[in-house]
Amino acid sequence: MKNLYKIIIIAVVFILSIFILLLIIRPVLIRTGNHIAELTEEKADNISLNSELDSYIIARDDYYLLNAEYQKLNMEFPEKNDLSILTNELYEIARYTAVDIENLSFNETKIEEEDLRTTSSKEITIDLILRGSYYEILNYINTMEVMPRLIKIEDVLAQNSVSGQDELLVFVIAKTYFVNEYYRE
Amino acid sequence: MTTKLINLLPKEEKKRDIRSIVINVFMVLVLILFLATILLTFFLFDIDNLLSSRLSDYEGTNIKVQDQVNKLKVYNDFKNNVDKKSDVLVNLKENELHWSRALYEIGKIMPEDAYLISFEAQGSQLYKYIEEFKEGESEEGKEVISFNVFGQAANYMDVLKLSIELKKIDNIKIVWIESITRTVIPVIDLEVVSFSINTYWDLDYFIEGIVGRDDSQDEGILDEEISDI
Repeated sequence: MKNLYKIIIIAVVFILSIFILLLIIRPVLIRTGNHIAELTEEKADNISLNSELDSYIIARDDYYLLNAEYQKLNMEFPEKNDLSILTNELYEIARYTAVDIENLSFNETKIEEEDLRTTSSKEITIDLILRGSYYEILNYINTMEVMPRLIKIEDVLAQNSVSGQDELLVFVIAKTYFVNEYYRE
Repeated sequence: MTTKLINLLPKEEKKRDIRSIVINVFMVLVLILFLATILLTFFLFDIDNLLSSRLSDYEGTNIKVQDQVNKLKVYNDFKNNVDKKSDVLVNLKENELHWSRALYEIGKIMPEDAYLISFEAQGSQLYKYIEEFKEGESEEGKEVISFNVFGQAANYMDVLKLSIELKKIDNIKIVWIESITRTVIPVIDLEVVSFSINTYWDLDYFIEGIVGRDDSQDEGILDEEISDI
């Protein structure tokens, strides 16, 4: 074969190789690089999603347990003030412990506008005036302390009643709470 | 006898064509390069296809997992809600006072010749102090009253006995006899002593819990920061 033909073949093959490099290999390389980056991202997403899913599955498996706990918490710390239920409970305890309720009043503590979103609970002050013997009053206060709804007895003033020797007149100030629906963490 | 053949013809001189050799070498190299390029192209296409299929697999899986995550998120939100409520409740229940216990204890320890006219428990003072302490506004060395009892006794010894017994009640640090006054009950003409006793809380007991919890919270934040690093 003549040298000239050989040179032409070399030039053609070389140019062809350059074209292949530029028009096929380069775009494929860029695409592969993008795929690798996307794949890495998807892998990371997959790992985080799976771990998230695992924690959610645990939460789902514990649903019944959580629901029972939620119901219990709702009794202690209700979503609404539920004053009718509370009043009924306080009178029921009085009936059961043979204590007379002379006076019962509720007062909701006002939350300032700027504190509304940072305060988790609303507070109700309960003012009670009771009349009964020492053991009856003791029983009443004890039952109030252990009743399902959270009641914190703050102040107690017990004094001998004028009407009877064994009778006490007791002034109780207690607090109870319910969820502040505007609270945001 | 063997005969040896001798070539007497003149040696043919061969001309070495360097250019042709170089061109041949180049041609071989260029052909190798071309073949390598073709092979590399196939190889890259193969890798790209493999990566594409893996990527679509991952995308498909992630869409499914995301779908499941979205469905199960409601359980997690519920769990967070329960946890949040539980935390608020724990906070509200903190340092809760049980006055029935104190009333019972006082009834149990009352000396025979003494009786109470009034009992005044002031839990609100303690709750107020705890709130101030949490906000760092509490007064150092402050004494917070627990309860006050006012009554009458046959003599001062009964008052002393009562004050000693009152100190045994849980979380009471100081028992302060405010006054002992001689009184005569006019109707029966009986001499007794009227007394007034104040008791004060052992504040360290209530503060310890808050300080301990704050320390553990700080440690928790520190652990989180370390794990983030």
